[in-house]
This record gives sequence, C-alpha cells and structure tokens, in this order.
Amino acid sequence: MGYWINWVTIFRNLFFSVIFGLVIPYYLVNYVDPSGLIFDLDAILFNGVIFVVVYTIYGIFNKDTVIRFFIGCCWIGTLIYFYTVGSNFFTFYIPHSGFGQLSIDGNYRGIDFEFGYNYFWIIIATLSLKGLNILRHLIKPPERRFKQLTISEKFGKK
Amino acid sequence: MSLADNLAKVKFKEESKGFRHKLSIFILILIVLGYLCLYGYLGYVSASAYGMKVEMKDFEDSQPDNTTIGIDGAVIIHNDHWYSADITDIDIKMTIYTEDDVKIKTKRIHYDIIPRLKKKEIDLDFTFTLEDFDYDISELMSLNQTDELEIKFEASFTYAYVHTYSFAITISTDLE
Repeated sequence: MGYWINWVTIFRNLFFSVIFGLVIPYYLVNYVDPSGLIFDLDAILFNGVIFVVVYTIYGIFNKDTVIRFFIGCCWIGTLIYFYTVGSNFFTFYIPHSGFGQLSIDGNYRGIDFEFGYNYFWIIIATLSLKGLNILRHLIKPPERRFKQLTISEKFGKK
Repeated sequence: MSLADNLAKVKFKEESKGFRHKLSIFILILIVLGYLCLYGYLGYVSASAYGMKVEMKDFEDSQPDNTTIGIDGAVIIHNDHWYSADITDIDIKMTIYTEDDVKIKTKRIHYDIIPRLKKKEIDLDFTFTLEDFDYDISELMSLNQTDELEIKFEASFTYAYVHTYSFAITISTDLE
C-alpha cells in the first residue's frame, strides 16, 4: 500500500484547505465581525470542514488515473454547492450570498431599509470557467518529467 | 490487494494522450476567451451604470388633511449617454400596512423598458385617501392596535439584462 498515494499533493491540499477554509476565516470573522451581524461563522466553519475533506481527497490519487478524474468531477460539484449556499471561503467576499444574491437590511435614523443585488450570471460564468479549468487539469496528460541531474552529472557532461 | 490499489491501476489509455492534450489546449483557449468576455462585459456594465443620472422633480410628501397620505412627484432617469444599456422590468411599489403587518393597500407602477440612449420621466403618484383603502375606517382602527401606519416603498429593476437591483424603505406615520 502507498504507491498510489500522491503524498506531496495530499499534504499540500490539506495545508491549503485548513489555512484558507478554517484558520483564516475563523480569525478574520472574529476580527471583522465579532458579534456575528454580517457573517455566519458556524456556516463558514461547517463549509470549511467540507472544503478540507473534499479537497484533501481530491489530492490523494496520482494524476492520470480514472479515479482522480471522478473525484475531480465531485470537486466541481462541491464548488457548485459552495457558490449555491454561500458563507464559505469561495464567496467570503460577499456576506450571506447564496447563488449570486446579496441582501443587506438595517435601520438608518429610524427608517428600515433593504437593499438587494442579484448577480447570478457572474456566478454561473465564474463557475463554468472554474469547472472548465479543473476539467482541463484532469484530462491534460502529465507533463513529461526530465531526469534530475546531479551537479557532478551536469558538469561531467561538459 | 485493496480497492484503492485496484482503482489506482485504472489509468487513461496511452493512445488518448494526443487527443487529451489537444482537448486541454482547446479548453484553455475557451477559458481565456471566457475570462476576457466576462471582465470586458463587467467593465462595460460598470462604466455604463456610472454614466447614468437620476433626478428628482417636484418630489414631496402629500398629506393635505388627516384622510390623505402619500408621496407625489416624478423621477427623471437619464439613460441617454452613448455607452448606456437598457433598463428593464422597472417596478415601483408602495404598500401601506397596519402595525400588525396587515396589508391595506398597494399601488404599483411598472415599465417594461427604458431603452438605452433615452431619457424617461416616471410620474409617481402614491396618494392614498381613506376611500382607496380596502377596509373602512372602523375596520382599519380595529385591525390596527395603535395610531400608526407603516408605509413600504419598494423599487426594483434589471440593468443590462443581467444585474437585478432592488431596494425598499419602511417608514411609520401617525393616523392623526
């Protein structure tokens, strides 16, 4: 066991997803919005755990295997979920956004106000382009790797 | 041999390398073109929205007596700059509620389109008298626990067919 695991990718994905899916959102939300008025920290952390699990699994298998292709398709599906429900690293810049819907309400000098902005077409376009890019990585043949020469080999050839 | 070992053995055929390489280049071209179109169109829409101007004309709240309430006036939308875009599905609505959120009356103004390169004046007449209400005054007073009414003013529109905006304000007013 073990030869099929891409250890470099699995640890890189795990590190990246924990940092960007859990650690940064946790400290950022507590710093920017400690009372939880704008951001839903529980939802962000829940989606962060999903991000860590799926993205780490995505890094397990070596390139050019069919199983990695299918897991990659699931990763695209997970991205669609993230953009649909909002409150995660990928839609972090827009509070409480669900599939391109931004809503803000509040009270200004005694007058209740609501503002809504729907940008679903940007979400669909971004998702399609991201999905295509992941698909491109999945079907692209692995790059030809040249033999790493030692210094003595390099100088010895001259 | 474990399931993972078996799964890891199933690889793409060696003969498919050339096809997959060409397909990945084709997808890369699509992605580059897609991002160029996306950011290009976003830039155009932002610039065209920035050039739009809205002007209020004779805008005042109308409450000449204690049986009439409302807002009267006009809004002029300057969508006539050369790089403008169409504004569609313009919906302006004013609703009066009792304090217990019972809807009393709604007036609505709808325009299908303000085409680009055009200026449009939208008349707003949201004046309500007691005769307009769906309830007579005794029913209204029994529905409402206080002497207050809530007026909700809502507007929504679609810009350049892809961006939908909406806003609403709610104000309270005395019946006296």
